[in-house]
Amino acid sequence: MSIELFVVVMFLSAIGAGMLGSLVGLGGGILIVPILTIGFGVDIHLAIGASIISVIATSSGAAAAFVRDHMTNIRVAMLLELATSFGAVSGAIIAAWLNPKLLFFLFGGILLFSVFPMIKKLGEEIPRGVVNDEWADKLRLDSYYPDRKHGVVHYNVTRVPLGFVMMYVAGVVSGLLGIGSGALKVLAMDTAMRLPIKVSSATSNFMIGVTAAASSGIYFWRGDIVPEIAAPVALGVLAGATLGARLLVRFRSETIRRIFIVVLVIVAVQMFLKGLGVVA
Amino acid sequence: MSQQSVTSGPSAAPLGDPEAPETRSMELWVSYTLRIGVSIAAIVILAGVILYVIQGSSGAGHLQSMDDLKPGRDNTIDVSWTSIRDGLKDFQAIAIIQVGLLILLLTPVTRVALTLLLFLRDRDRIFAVITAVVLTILLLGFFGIV
Repeated sequence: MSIELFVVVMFLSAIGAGMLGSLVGLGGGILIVPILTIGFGVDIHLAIGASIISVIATSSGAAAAFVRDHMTNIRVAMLLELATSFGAVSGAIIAAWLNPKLLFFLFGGILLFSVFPMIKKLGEEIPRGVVNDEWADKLRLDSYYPDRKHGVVHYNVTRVPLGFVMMYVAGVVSGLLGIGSGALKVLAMDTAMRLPIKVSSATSNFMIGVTAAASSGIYFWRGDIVPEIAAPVALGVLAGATLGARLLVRFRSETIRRIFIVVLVIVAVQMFLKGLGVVA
Repeated sequence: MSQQSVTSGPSAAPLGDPEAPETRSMELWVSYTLRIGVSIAAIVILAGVILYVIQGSSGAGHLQSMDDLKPGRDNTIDVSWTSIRDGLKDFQAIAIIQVGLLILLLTPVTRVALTLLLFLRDRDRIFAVITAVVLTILLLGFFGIV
């Protein structure tokens, strides 16, 4: 394939990745990485470099709108960024010594692991009966967000320490794989801390940029961020994320959850096949 | 404190309340910063891409074949402040794109730095400390020190 065509395909894929990523709180890396490795046979290290760009572009592009519209909980985000940035640096340091096949396997496992709790919560529009824990009170983490259907929705935050530990793990994974590990972040906020799914998604979106930025320097100076891949990815994702951010406020929570589940299953299976060596 | 009780008039609004002026002000600042960072990055990258197309395959450091992206490739790229500076002097498309990418990568860093200033302004000590630690790790990671 010619390089010109490759660049155009990457640009178009990146628009889709940015849209999806901004809707479900992921960085779009989960689409960009398989497209590059499975679709074009690109070296996994370069694919990870591209996904770092995708994550930061999705995060910064969508968060501008989410923060303005009060979908993002900045206090929760800052607290949890403490955990993820520690994790990200630890992960990036050990990444160079790991076998790519193992990385794929790990990647697939993490995504598949995150599907089941999501399916269980399908009919839940807004979490009920959540009471602030001691940390949420002390740090004033509870807040509210505007919902098209339900008006202003107040929400409390619980099990902050558990969320914090899950976020450290999410940080390690993102440092290892160059993904913002938005799936794990959404999971921690949704399952452990019981934030509404839209708030979890928007807050995850806000955070993934910081997690990715913490390890981005390492990839950039190592030469893993190739301009021919990164430029179309950055421009496409920025366009897609800006569009996706407008959609999140309109969609029902259940719709967001469904999209999230479908994306996770497809990519998890792809990654497992790659890890097993079934797909080259 | 339970959220259900936050209906007691504006003066009783806690700091974490979105109606509190300092929270709203922080949200607007953060939102603007992200928008500006992302816009500048996009413009610079786009300028680099246009130049790349004009220079064609003869441009310095341009990819010659898809094989150069495959595993086991032998063309590891040297990226450093010096390589980018020299590239910019020669008007190389690759260097311009790299500058745009750096601006993009620095946008979240700038956002965290700004958040720190805003927490300090609001005298929110706990969050100022949290944000300062995050910023430190971020900078160490970004400049490849850690």
